[in-house]
Amino acid sequence: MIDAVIVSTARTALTKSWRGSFNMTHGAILGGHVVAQAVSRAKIDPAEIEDVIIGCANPEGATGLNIARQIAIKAGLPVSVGGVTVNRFCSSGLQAIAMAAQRVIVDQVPVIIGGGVESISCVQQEMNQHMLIEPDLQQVKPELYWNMLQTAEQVARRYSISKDLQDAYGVRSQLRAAAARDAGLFKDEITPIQVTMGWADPQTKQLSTREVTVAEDEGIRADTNRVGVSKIRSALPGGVITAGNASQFSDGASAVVVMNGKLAQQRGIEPLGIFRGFAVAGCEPDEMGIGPIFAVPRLLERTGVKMSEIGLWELNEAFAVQVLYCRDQLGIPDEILNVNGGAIALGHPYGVSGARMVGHALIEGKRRKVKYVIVTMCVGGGQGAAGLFEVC
Amino acid sequence: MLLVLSEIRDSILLITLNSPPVNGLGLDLRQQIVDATSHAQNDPNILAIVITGSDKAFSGGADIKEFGTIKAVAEPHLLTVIKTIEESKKPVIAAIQGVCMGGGLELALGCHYRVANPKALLALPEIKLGLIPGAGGTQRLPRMIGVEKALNFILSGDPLPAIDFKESALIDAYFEGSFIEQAIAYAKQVVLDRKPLKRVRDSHIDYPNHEGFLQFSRNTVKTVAAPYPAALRVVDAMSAAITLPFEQGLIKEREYFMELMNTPVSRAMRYAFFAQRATTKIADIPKDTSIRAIQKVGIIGAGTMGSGIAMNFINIGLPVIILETEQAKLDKGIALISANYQSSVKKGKLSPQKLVERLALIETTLDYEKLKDVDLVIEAVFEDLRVKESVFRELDRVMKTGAILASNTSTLDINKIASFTNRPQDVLGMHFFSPANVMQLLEIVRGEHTSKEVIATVMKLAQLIKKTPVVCGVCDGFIGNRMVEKYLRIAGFLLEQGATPWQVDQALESFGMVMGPFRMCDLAGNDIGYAIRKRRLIEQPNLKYSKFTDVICEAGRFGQKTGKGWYLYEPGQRQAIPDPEIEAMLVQFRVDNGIQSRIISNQEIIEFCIYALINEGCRILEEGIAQRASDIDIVYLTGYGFPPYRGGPLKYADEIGLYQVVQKLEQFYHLTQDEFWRPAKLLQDYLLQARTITSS
Repeated sequence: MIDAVIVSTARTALTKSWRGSFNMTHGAILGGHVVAQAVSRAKIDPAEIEDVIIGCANPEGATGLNIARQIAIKAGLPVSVGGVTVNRFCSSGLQAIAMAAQRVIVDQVPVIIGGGVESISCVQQEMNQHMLIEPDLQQVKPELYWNMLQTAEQVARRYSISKDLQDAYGVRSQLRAAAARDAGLFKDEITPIQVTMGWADPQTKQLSTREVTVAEDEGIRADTNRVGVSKIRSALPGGVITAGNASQFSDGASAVVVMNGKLAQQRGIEPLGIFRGFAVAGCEPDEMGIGPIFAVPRLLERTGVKMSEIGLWELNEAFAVQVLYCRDQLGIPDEILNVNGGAIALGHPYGVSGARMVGHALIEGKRRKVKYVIVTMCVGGGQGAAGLFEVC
Repeated sequence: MLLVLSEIRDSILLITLNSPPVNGLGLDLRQQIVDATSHAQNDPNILAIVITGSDKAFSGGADIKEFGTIKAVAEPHLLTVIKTIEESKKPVIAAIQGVCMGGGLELALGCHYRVANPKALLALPEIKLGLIPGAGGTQRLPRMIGVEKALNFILSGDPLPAIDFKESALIDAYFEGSFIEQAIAYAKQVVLDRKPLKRVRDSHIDYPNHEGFLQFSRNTVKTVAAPYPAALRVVDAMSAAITLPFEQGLIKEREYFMELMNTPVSRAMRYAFFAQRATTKIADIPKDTSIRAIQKVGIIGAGTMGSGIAMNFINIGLPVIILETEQAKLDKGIALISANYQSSVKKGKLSPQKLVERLALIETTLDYEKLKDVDLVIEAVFEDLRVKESVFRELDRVMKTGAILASNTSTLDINKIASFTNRPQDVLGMHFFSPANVMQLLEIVRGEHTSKEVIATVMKLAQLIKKTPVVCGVCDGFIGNRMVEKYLRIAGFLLEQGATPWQVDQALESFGMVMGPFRMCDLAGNDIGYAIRKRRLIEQPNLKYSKFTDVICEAGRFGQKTGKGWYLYEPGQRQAIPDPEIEAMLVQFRVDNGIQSRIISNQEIIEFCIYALINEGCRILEEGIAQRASDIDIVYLTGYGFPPYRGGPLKYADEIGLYQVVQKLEQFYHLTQDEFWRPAKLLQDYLLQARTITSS
């Protein structure tokens, strides 16, 4: 049996969409940078890489035209390296890593890249709307076309999860992320990058471009508190979901190098972790946020690992409401869940988050000396995805 | 008439634009520029051309008198003028002093070289009329100053001194002193050095990742300038400048320009531009009416209004003397003024030195005798006719002959106030809006006996203190408050019938009002309207109001100042928080009064409230309280937060069409049986005559 091991990870800091540092940065630049960094950290010969698998939830425009191939070339990899873009919305990054690992295991690929990229700034408002919706399907299953906000409100209503609890969770995410940043816990993941950003001067209103070096996540607010968060207006009239208890729009990229375990051993490369399994499960689209409660049991059953053996959980914070529900349904101990905050504080570039969480869980898992980590998330349209990794 | 002066100096043809005041590019001037330039082509004595204006103005751009007329677009069109200049075989040098704006700057951009006085003021202000430059400005400017600078410059429309462009290719040389001589010398040098005919159109724009920056710009502009389509078109025109060949870029610019010309937004903004200039013209007061000197101003009352009014004068260096009944009130007023200036100092808008100078201009007194040497006194005391009477009797007693006596009353009868004095010709209303040092609007209330000289003097003074003065006749509430009162009355009925204060506010704010009626009342204080309604109950016992507004006041909910009004307010906060208690009170009120609640749409709210303004505005016009429709609109644009992009209530009515307006009003009348909704006679007349309200 071949082990697929993750030998390096690199991500950009996550920046606020539209107003943040990557607001005019092409996906190839973001992805190319992290792939080049991950490769350089792994100390492998780029020519040995077979493929670059990149997850992206909106693979068009500035992240279009098979962005994975562009990323490979932009990263300076030789033309012999392939590229494939995959999309499972918010789990695209995890999906890409899982597929990379599977190719190592099944196809005996020696070295391969998995990761994710998303530029919400440059893509989300300019998407192709032509025939976006299939009318018959919309009749039969209208929830498939709901926006995520609606699904979060649905989960809050259906499972009676109070706004107070959600706000408290939002604050917790912010404070944990701020503490982690201050303790330097993201240092090993983030690779600084210099880009040109569009800048609107708050005083003069002048629009200009400026060169910036991006080294820290922009969404973290260390001064977040319950009173402040409770006052944020709901995104939908009469709703409970606010900017304080939901993930932030962000841009960024994250990548890992996956390789054959034996090959790594021969080369003396110390892996971060071993891929142990991946599962997905569908659910009702109107409550897509609860997807992990279906995916995680399937993953555990298949891998034969018990809940109690999981030492660290990364459950994507699309919305506080679904994190809370999944945590309680799955019985995840709060103290090992999203220990350094999540998308509410750091931001959620959809296709990136899964890859970011894998990298972070392995680094944090090592710090905590745990054996297994699970990375899981809900997926728009009604799905859950979950990946199991063994920390080395 | 000769609008350009041509002379040849040392083989250089000097074309001096001579169409005062600002060399507006009217048809005749355009024709004469083309003629002079064309003639020069075949005159062997001419080697180069210098185009200049006066030292005050190169050119202020389009001739505003031609706006909307066939002359504006008649050939030679400005585009043709620029083409002629650009294609000249002999070098053309623009020599720019003073203002160089809009079409003026576009003309200069058509020249091969530009020399300028460093202090010359350049601008492309079309955005302020809801337009973009339409004669190549968007295509040529980025070629000279770069994409980012051009974008900001066109988006803001504000002027910049020529020297600000010294890092760019826009200005080839700066001269001070004997400007024309140096410009001619420069032209001679161009000839001597056989410099090329530098056509702006031939320069190439090199701007990497323009798509990223322009889309960032669109996203940013969209949020700050939502209802104004011109801003996005500026970005689009920039994109054309970067991506298209010059000629195609020009076509795009023209396309956007024409499209914007036909938007209601631009129509409204152009209308408001002229409306603003028209307010100071008063039919029966000639321009040359003599005016009185105002060297010192007295203010009666040191409250919020009094101290705010005082600041207007000390801001322009006029000393004021403030009178109060108690020292403590004076101290409070001075503290208010001082705090206001302090905050400007903190924001870096005022130097500490200026603060000291300004405060030194204030004198205070408890004694009317001290007012005897002031030239103008403005009374800002409690809105009660008896209080006003005692003030004006005192003023009449002490003030020197020829002094002007003004009342800041917002609703009371100026004729009555004038009758308390033996000099009604010197009495008028000067209705400031709160905060008086900030708000642009000033209603000048002309009493029956107010002399022309007094009105002319105050109109002039109003402009000096940077107000927009609007003359109105005597009636309850003058222009602004008379209309707002009807608007609030209708808003009150909407609550009775099923709306909430926040629904009404939100609907009207979505229409573009800066503040919905109930938030506005909470800010002004609900007790004020309450007092007015009580007074009206005696004067007009048949006029019905929603009793619910009284219920609110009787519950002590006076607004922000009491922490509760139509909304809840947290201590020290201005944010209006919807209050479930109000909703409960409304439900109870409907039960008590047997009113069946119904669902009211936002559209209905907007129509009811805005049509109330339209109908009352038309009555004001018909009664001659306002001199012209556009004055009424200016009152609403500058004093009541009416959206500038809609041009004011009456302009808005014209945009809808009077047929629709009258139909709607009749529908409201049948629905409510409220006499108020009978369409104003003026509306019906104009409809029959197929006229619009605002063009007459």
